[in-house]
Order: sequence, then structure tokens, then C-alpha cells
Amino acid sequence: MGAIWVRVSEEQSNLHKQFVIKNGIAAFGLLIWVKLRLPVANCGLVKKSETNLLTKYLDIKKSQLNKVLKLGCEGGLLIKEPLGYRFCDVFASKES
Amino acid sequence: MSIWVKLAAADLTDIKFSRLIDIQGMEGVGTFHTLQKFLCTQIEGLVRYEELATASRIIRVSEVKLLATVDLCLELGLLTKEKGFIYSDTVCECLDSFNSLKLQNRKYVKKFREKSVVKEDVSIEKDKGCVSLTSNLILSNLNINNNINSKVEEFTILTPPETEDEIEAEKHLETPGEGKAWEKDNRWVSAGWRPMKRFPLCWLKRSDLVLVIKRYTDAEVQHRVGAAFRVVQGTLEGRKLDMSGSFAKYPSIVGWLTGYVLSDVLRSETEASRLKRVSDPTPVQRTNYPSASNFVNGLVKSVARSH
Repeated sequence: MGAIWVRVSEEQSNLHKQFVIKNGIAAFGLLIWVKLRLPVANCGLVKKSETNLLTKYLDIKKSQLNKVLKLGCEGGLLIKEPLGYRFCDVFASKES
Repeated sequence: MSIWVKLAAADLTDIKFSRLIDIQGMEGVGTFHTLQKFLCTQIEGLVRYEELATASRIIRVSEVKLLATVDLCLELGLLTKEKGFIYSDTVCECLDSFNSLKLQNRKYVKKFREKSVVKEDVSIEKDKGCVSLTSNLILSNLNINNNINSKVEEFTILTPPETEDEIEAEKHLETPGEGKAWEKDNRWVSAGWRPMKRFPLCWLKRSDLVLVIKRYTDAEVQHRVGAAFRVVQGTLEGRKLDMSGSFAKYPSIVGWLTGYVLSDVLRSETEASRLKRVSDPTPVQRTNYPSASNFVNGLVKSVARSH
């Protein structure tokens, strides 16, 4: 069993709204799908090294994943890190 | 205002989400998540099915699309409907910004009821400048309803004020952790409200006080905030509230302060400024004002001309 802690704040909600207006609810849904299906131990980090594995796991194309991650980064929902992209609103995760 | 929400990871709900994606695509996931966030901001994470039309306008999703997604999620078991209210099954816990336990998923509560002994450690490491949360919850052979409030305190964390407004608001509120009598009050334990230092009958959250100050500043009557609180304090003194039971009995102070009290203040402020103008006209106004004799003379002339 796994669970992730996500922050719901006014600032995040505004970013989400802007992202939906700019890119559509389907792109937003895909981003959420990536967030939910990330391994719990990753704490919201989408590792570059795990991209291939993740695309198989999510059942989407690699180009789709890269594009949505880039859009998320531009929209302020993700932060680019040396290892990959990190979701801003995932605080931590824990096996429960 | 921020809320921490504990979501069940997808591996627990894989089949349900896969069905949702098969039927509605990623749009369905996006709509569901937007609704889920909205639910977390509602009292006890509930919304009436009939009020989904209103919710759709708030979350900016079309009503038809939202209703279709909700119906599908109800069918799949991602949402549950009980007595006309809807709540999310994937939300395990919800902690509001004031560090009080705001919502517990019904399944989560059931889990406590079913098991006589539950031990859980919740640890969120201090990471990326985020606030750390460490709490231990140990319930042994307890009736959850009677004892949840006493255990809520262990769940609570105190976030330091970040913005200038929050620092200013914090100065006016009582500080917890000193073993004062008010810390046992249900309003603090369950809702995270604290009494004000100058007005002990006024219980507010820090975020609420920030909102009140902002409203008064926006209306350019920030110098009347103290007077507004005195009005509220006076009203509460007259009511003699019995707060032995649920904190829900306590009236919405924020509603008062940003509603009728603010409109009274604004009205009195406008009247005061009018009085000031009438009693102390500026020289420019005095010179521009037409004299009564000129006005009458002009009127007589125009009447004579018409005849």
C-alpha cells in the first residue's frame, strides 16, 4: 500500500487553473496521472533514468511524457532538477 | 491557505483509474482530480450532489462534463455518495493549514473502529523548505468518536508565519503550547481557531484574520478594524454562547466581520465624510457655488422673456 501527501493551496490551484486554460484538461489529467503513478519512494521526482520504465507503466508514448513534463515545468507545476523533474506540490510520501 | 492531502497511490486504485481513462480519457482524470481538490477545501470534504452545478462554476469545468465524470466515478467507486453528499475515496487524510485535523476519510475512521489497536507513524521529512510533520497516533480499544479530539493534538503542527500579513495577524492571536485553558476548547482542537489577545471572545484562524485585515485594507478602512472587533465582541457578550459541545455552534466571526459589520463601518465612514464636506467646505467650493440672488434674478428674467 502506498500514499502520497499533496499540498492543495491557493497558489497551486491558480497554477493548475492557468495550466488547464493554456494546455487543456487532458494535458492536466496526464500530468496528474504521472504524479499518481510515480513510485511512492520517488517523493514526486520523475527521474530521467526511469523515463522508459515510466512510459511503459503509464502506457503512454515517451514524446507525450516529455512534452507534458516540459509544459508542467513551464507552468510552474514542476521544477527541473539534475536528476529529472520534481512535482512542487508533492511534499513527501510514505509506505503505509 | 494550504491543505495537505494524503492520496492513495495509484497502485491501490489502478483498475478504477484505468476504467476511467478507458471511458473518458485523460480529461476524466483531470476533472476528477480538480473535483477532488475542491472537495478537500470543503467542510469535512463533502459536497451535495445537487450543488455540483455550483461546484462546476467554481472549478471552471463544464457542468455536463463534471456530472458525467462524477456519475462514472460513483459507478467505479472513486467517489462515494451517502445521504446526498459526495466524498472522495482516494483521500485518506486531510490536514489544513492551521495544523488541525480537518477531514478524515470515512474508510480511515472505519479502519480505526474495526481494529482495536492501531499504531501509525506519519513522518514527513523536512525537505525542500517544506514544513515537517511528525506525529504518532496510538489508539487502543477506543471509541474513535469520543477520543479522536484528544488525539488530534498529536496530529497538529504549527507552521511559522511566512508573509508579513501572517506575522502581523499572529501578533493579535494567542499562542498555543503554554497549557492555557483555551487549548482544551473544541474550537482550537477541532477547527484550529484561537482567541484574540485583545478580544478573547473572538476566535479566528490566522488565515481568517489575514483575510479580515485585507478586506478592511482594500476598503481603505483599516483604521476601523479595532472598532469592528469591538462590535463583534459586544455581540458575542450579549449572546452567552455555550461552547461545551461541537465547535459548529460558534458563529462565523469572519462572515460577520467581512459582511454586515464591514458594511456598517463603510456606511458610517461615508456619512462621516459627507458631514465633513458639508460642515467644512473648501474655499473653491464656496466660490463655485451659485448665489441664491443670481439664481432668482436669472429665473425672473427667463420667465419675463417667455411672456
